[in-house]
Amino acid sequence: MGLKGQSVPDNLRFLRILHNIGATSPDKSLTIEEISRWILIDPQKVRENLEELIKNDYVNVNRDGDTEKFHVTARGIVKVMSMYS
Amino acid sequence: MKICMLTWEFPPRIVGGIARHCLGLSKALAKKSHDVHVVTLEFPGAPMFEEMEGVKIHRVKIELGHPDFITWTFIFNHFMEKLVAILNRSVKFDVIHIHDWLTAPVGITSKYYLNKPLVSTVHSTEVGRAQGLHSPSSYLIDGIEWWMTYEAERIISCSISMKWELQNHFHLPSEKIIVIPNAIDASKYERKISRENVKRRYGIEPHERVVLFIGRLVPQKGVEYLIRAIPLILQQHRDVKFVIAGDGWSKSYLEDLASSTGFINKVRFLGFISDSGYADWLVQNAKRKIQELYSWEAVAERTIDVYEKICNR
Repeated sequence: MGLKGQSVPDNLRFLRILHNIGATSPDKSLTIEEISRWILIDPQKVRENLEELIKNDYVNVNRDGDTEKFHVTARGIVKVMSMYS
Repeated sequence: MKICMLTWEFPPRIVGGIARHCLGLSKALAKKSHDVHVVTLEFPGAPMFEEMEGVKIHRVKIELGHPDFITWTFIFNHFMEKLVAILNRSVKFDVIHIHDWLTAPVGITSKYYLNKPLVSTVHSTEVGRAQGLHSPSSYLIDGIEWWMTYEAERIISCSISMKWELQNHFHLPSEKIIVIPNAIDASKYERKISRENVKRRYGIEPHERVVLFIGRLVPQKGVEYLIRAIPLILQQHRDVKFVIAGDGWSKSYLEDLASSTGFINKVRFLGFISDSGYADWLVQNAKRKIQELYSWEAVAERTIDVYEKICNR
């Protein structure tokens, strides 16, 4: 009986990266394309991850016309920190 | 004394016990007329500077980022160093106090340019958290922890068992480590709690007893051992509900694990809670033997027996 089989789920790994690259407030929010370039993941996959994280209130979206920008919420920051400490 | 306390978590940025430990300690020091400056990280909604019961809290904006956690840690340490240097123009610090490896780089650098002693509180170690060193990052963190204990004038440990772990793992002289147990404000717990109301709130029948786990839902906290033990416990005690309070990345795994026992109806996952409660038994992970803050709170509630080894069966 050990800890095997437990690993950080993919969407939380994604959240962790979004946090570490600094998208942690509305003024530092990033577009899907910017996130995709930062972490070398296909934009469609980025969108899928973001949608799941928004559902859990870990990520917020700001809309400015046609532009959508995303950042990690306070709840998301605490979630990320819980993976480290 | 002018104290510079460096911590990556401080309320409202709360993850584990470090934030509450630093809050309690800084307020207690300020009450004793020390000039306490806490340097910590920004958090949504929190001001970049505030004063709380005499404690001056300075929050650092992290201006750069990187996907890798260790790199990110060194980046925020850089911004903390910058703030400590700015503060030093107006405050002549007498001591620098860091909490765990996360602020070790800024603490050690500050020690040299301020020419002041460094005190380090070690709340946990990488080898304990990860139950061994299994990755390059873990080896690096372990190395930083050793470096932190080497550079510190004094090391504070919150339990005797952690002192032993530090002595053995980092080969430290006993006299370098001081044990100062975590503490709570017991006056906050001198109140009546209605067991019936607490049980009703969480869908527990009045006659049922409550087994409580409090902590982050991550592997090192060991809650999976409790969940795996549920069928065994229920064989002997049918009228028991298991209440798991806390959040963490392995929550989904643990919920699935609870379902797989066939007794999910006996388990309540509450998520993060800040309100009061009560339990008949509090379960702690005996593998790490750290004196968690909540165990003192449990004692203060006077309604809980603390069982340490139930999950090691």
